Amino acid sequence: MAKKTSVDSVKVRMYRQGFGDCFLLSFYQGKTRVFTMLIDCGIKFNTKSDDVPIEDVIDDLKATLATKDNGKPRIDVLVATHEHWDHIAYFHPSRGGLKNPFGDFDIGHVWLAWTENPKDDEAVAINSRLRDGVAALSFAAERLNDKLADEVEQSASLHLGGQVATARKKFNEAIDDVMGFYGVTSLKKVSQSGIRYKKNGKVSSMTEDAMENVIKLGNDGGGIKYFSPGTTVDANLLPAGVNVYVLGPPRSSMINKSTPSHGNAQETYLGIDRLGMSSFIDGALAVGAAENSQDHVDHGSPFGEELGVTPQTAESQEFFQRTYFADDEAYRKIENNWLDITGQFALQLDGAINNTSLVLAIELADTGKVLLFPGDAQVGSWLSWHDYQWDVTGGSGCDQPKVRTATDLLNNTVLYKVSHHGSHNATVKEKGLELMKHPELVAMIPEKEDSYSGILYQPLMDRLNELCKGRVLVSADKNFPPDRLRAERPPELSSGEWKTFKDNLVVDRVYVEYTIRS
Amino acid sequence: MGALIQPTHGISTGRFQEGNQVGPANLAYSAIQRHDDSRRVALLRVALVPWQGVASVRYRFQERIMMSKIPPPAFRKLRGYATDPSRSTTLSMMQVNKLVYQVAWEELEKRPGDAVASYPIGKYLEIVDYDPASGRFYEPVDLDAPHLLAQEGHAPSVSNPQFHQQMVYAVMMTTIKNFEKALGRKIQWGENIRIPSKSPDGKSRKRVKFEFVQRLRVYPHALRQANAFYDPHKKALLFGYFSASPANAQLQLPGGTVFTCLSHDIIAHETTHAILDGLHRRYIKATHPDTRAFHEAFADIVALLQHFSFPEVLKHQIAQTRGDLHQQNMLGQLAQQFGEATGGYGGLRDAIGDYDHLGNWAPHVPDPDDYQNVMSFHARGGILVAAIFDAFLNIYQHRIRKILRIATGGTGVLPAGELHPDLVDELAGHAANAAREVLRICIRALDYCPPMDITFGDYLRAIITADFDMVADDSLGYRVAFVEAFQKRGISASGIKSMAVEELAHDLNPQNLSGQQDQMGIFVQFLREVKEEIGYHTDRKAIFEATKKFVGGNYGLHARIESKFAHSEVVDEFSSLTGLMFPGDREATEKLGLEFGYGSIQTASYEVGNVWLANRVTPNDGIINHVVVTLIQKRGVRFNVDDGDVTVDEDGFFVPDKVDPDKWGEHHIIFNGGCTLIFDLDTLSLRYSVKKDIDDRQRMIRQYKYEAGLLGDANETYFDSATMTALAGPFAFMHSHTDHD
Repeated sequence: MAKKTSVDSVKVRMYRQGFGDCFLLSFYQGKTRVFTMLIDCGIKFNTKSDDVPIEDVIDDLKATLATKDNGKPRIDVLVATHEHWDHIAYFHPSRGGLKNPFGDFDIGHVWLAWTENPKDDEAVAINSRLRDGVAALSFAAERLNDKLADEVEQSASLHLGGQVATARKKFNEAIDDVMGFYGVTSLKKVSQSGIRYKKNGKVSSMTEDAMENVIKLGNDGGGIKYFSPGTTVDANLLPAGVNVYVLGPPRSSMINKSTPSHGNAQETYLGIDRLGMSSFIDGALAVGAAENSQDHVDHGSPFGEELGVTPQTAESQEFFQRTYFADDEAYRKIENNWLDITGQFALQLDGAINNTSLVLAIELADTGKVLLFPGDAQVGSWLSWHDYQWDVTGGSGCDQPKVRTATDLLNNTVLYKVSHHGSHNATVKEKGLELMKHPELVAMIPEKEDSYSGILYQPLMDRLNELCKGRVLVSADKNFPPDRLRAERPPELSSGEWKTFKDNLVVDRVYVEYTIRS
Repeated sequence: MGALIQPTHGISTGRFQEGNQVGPANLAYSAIQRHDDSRRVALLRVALVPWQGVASVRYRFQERIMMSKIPPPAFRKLRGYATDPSRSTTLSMMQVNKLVYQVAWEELEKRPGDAVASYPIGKYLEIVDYDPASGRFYEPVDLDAPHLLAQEGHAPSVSNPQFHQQMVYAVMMTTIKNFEKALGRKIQWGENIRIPSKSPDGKSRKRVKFEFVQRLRVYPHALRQANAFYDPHKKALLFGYFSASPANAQLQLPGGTVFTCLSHDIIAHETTHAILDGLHRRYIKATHPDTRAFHEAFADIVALLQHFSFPEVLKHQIAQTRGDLHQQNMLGQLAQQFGEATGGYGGLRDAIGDYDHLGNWAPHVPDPDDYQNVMSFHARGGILVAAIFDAFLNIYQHRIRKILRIATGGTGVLPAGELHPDLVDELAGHAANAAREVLRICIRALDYCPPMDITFGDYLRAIITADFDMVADDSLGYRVAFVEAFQKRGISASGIKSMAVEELAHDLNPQNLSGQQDQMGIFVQFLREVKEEIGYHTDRKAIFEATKKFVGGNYGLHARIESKFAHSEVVDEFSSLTGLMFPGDREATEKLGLEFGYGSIQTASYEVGNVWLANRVTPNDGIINHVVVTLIQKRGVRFNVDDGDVTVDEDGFFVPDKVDPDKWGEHHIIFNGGCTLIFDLDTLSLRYSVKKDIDDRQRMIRQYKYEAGLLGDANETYFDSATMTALAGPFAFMHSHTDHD
C-alpha cells in the first residue's frame, strides 16, 4: 500500500436498517478512496425498519464498494465486534431470506476480539461460561413460559392474583425480548431441552453460525486477526496516516485490578461467576438435562444426593402432604421462584457479552482526531481502558507525543459511535464521556424507537447533546430524524459550525453519512 | 392416628398454654377446646376413657399429671451461629461465632403416632425445606428429639440441613419475641386477602375477605442466588444459597456454598419485613422515596440491634476495639458473609463505615445533604440505618463513661494493653442493654407511625413520641441522641418548624372536637370493652377473630365511627383530626374520588385497618394502656401534566374500585390517606392523632412524581419495578445483590 500521502478524511456511513449496527468507513486521500472498513452488520429481532429493508443496505454497499474492474466489491477490513445478533445477524450464511450476502464481497482481513480466538485459553474459558449461561437462560425462560398457567392458577384466589399473573406475563415477554440478542427468535421454537448450541461452540447456534461464517469469510479472504487490549494495529494493515488503538475487550486480570471493591466489577464479563450465579446456572442445566435423560443427573444439590428425598417420595410423606402439597396452600408453592433471577441474569449475561466487544479508536495521525467505535462495551470495559498506554511508532506526525493514554484518545474523539445504542450503562461518565471535550464532537447512535426498554436513555442523550452541541445522529428512530439537524440549527451550534456540519452530512433513506476531515 | 397417645399430649398442650392447676377432667376439657373440630370427637371419646377404668390409659394420665407439676421450660435452647459461618474460619473468631439462642418455649406440632417427636411447625412458623432446583425435600428437623433437647439442638454445621432449619427457627422466633416484648402484644402476619367478587348490580362490591394467617411458611433452601426475601403473596420467606467467589479467599473457600439461611442478620432482616408487613400492610406500596427505603432500613436496624444484644458476641469485639464501637467493627457490617461472598470487601450494607477503593476502612461522615440527594432506596435506607446506629453508639458511649472513669482511676483514658476481662464483661453488658433498649424504642415507634406513605421524618416523630410515653423525663438524653443523629443527615419532619424534641413529639390530646369530649369519652369507653374482650386472648387466631368482630357489625367500631362522628355535627372537626373526608351524599362523595357506601355505611367509605392493644410497663413501673386504631380512605387522582409541571386535575377524581383500570388515564395515582389514632384507656381520651390528609394536594403531586420517576429514582430499565413488585412482592428484587446499577 502506498504510504506517500496520509489519509485526510473518513466518511462514516451509518445504515438505517433498524435496531442494529452497520457502519461503513471509507478512508480518503484527497478524493481517492484508499481503504474501506465495515464494522458489524446486524439487527435485533423484530426491529426491522419498514423503510430500509436489508437488501437495500447490501445493494448500497455493493454499489459503493464496486471496483473499476467489475470485480467483487472490496471490503479491506471486516470487523465483527461481538456476538450479539444486532451486530452480526447478516453475517449469518442463510438468515432473513439472504443467502450469505457477504459472500459476494472481496474481503481483506477479518478483525475480531481476542475473546473469539480459539487458541486463547482465557477466551475458551470465558466462552464456555457464557455458553452455559445462555443455555441456562434459555432453559429458564422456556420453563417459566411453560409454567405460566400453573402459576396463574395457584394465585387465582388471591386479591392480587391478577396482578401477579399480568406481571408474570410481562416478565416472560421481557426475557423473551432479551433472548432476541442471542439469535433465538421465539422461545417456543427452542427444542425441548431448551438448549441449542454446539458442544464447544459459541453462545447460541444462531450467533455461532453467523460467527463461523465471519471466520470463513476471513479465511477465504486475507485471514483473521485477533486483537488484544493495549496494542495497536500493525501499520502494514492500515493506510498511511491512520493509527488504530485496541482498547478492549479487557483481560480479566486487568478488570480485577481496575475495579477492586465496588459495583463496577459486576459489569464485566467475569461478573457471572463473581455474583454467585454459578449455582443457578448449574441448577438450570442439570434440571434441563434431567428432564431429557433417563439417567440419573446430579442437580448440584448443596448437600449431595444422599440427603433428602425426591418430590415423588415427598408427596407420600405426611409432613409434606399437610404443608407443601396441601391443596389450600397451593398459592405458597415455590416451584419456579428460583428461576425469577432469570431477568437479572439475562441482563448480566447481556452485559457480559457486550463487554467482549472489540473496542477500536481510529486516529487520523495528522491531527490526532479520533473516531471511537466501542461496539457495545459497558462499564467494566470502559474503566479498563485507562489501565493501558499505547506507544505510537511510525505513521504519526513528528510533533505528536510518543505515548497515548485513553484520556488522550477520548480528549481527541471527534466521532463517537455511542455504545450499546444509547443505554444507561454503556457510556461511562467521568472516565468516558466527560473526557470527550473536542469542539467538533459528533455522536452516532444506531437505534430504532421502541426496541428496547430504557433506550434511548434520556440523561445520556441530554449530555451528548450538550457535548456535541446538538450534533447527535440517530439511525432509525422516528423520534430523532437526522433531517431535523439540517432543517433547524441546534441552538448551541454557531452558524459557522452548523454550516460545516451540514456540508459534511448526508442524510439518505438508507444511511446517514458524516465525513471527518483531518 | 394413635387414639391412646393423642389425648395425652393434647392435654399437655392445654396445660402448658393455659397454666391451669386443675384436675384431670378439666385438663381433658381444656384440651378439647384447643383443638379443631376434626380432632374433637376422638379427643372427647378418649378423654372419657380413663374414668371408665382402662388401667393403662389411666396410668399414662397419672404419669402426665405428675410430670405436669414440673413447669414447662421457659426457653428452648438452640445452638446456632452468631454471625455467619464464614466468621468461624478465622481462628480469632472461632470462639465467638457460636451462640446458644434462648427461644421462648412453645409446643411444636407432634408427629402423628409419636408422643415426643415434633415437626418444625409452631404457633408462628412452619419450616418446609424444599429445594426445587435440586429436586430435594429435606427431612423436617425434630427439635423435641430427646438427644437434641439434651444438647441444645444440632451442632452448628454448614452441611446439615436439619441444623439449617433449627438456625432459621431460632433466629426467627428470637426476632418475633423481640417485637412482642416491645409492642406489648402478639404479632400477626399480614392477612391473606382473597379476591372480592362483584355484586350482581355492579354498583357495590362484596367485601374483600381478609383471612387469618396462622404461620409464615419458611423455605430455607428455595433459591439458587445471593438473595433471600419475604414474599407477601405467599406469606413465605425464601432463602437462597450460592457458590462463593470472594475477594479474601481465607473467608470463603472459592466454590464453597454460602447459605443465606445461616446468617443471623439475613434471617432477622427478612423476618422483620414479614412482621412489618403484618403491622403496616400499606408500607409495601412505594409512594415516596422513603417508603421502600424505610422497609429496608427498618429490617436492617432490627437485624443490627438484635445482633448487638448478644453480649457474648460483643465481648470479643469490645476487647478488640477497646470499648470504642465507633472503630472498625465486624458487627456493624450487616450480613457479612453475604457481601464477602459476592466479591466485595465489606459487608452488604455497612451502617457505620465502608471500605475505600484501596481496601481501607473509613467511617461514614454524615452529610446534611444526604437526605435531599440520595434517592436510590438502598442508599437512602442506609441513611436511616446510620442515623439509628449513630444514636445507639452515642447512648452506649454515654452509658460507659462512668465505668471507664472507675476503671481508670478517674481519667477515663484506658492504658495500653488488653482490657481487663471484667471490664470487657461490663462494657459488653452495657452495649447489649443499650442495643436492646434502642431496638425496643425503634419497634415501639411503629405504633405511632401513620398507616401509609411513611417518611423518615414521620418515623423520627414516632420514635420521639413513643419514647415520651415510656419515659417522661429524658434524663439520659436518648431523644436528643436520636434527633441529633437524624439532623446530621438532613432528615427533617415535614410541617415541623424546628428540630426541637418538643416540636417533634405529636400533639398530646388534640382537642379538635370542641365541646364533644363526651362523644369521644363514650367512644373510648367502647374501646375499653374491646380491650376487655381482646386483651385476655392468648391465641393469635382468637385475637384476630375477636378484633374482626369488634370492628364489624352494626355496633362495631366501624359503624360507631360513622354514627358518632361521620354522621354527626362534629364531622368537620373529625375530618381535620383524622385526615379523612366525608363529603355528604353519594354524588358529592364519588365526585371527589371516594367510594360511597361500601358495606352497610351511608357515607364515604373508610377502612378500619388495625386495632391494636398496647399494654406496656414503663421503666418507671408506670403502665401504658392504649388502643391504637388506624383509619384509611382511598381516592383515585388524575393529574394535568405539562412539561414537568404537575397539577391535580380537580375534575378528574375517580373511584378506583368502580372504574375500569383502562380508564384511569395516563397520569393517575391511587391515593391513600387517613390516620393512626392512639387512645388512652385510663383517661378515656384520644392521646394522639398521626394523620396523612386524604385531601393533601402536595402529597398527591409528590406521590405522582415519585411513581412517574420524576424524582430521580428511575434507574430501572428493562425489568421495570412495577412488574417485579407484582411478581413476588417488592422484596424479592430489593435484596438481590445483583442489581444492575
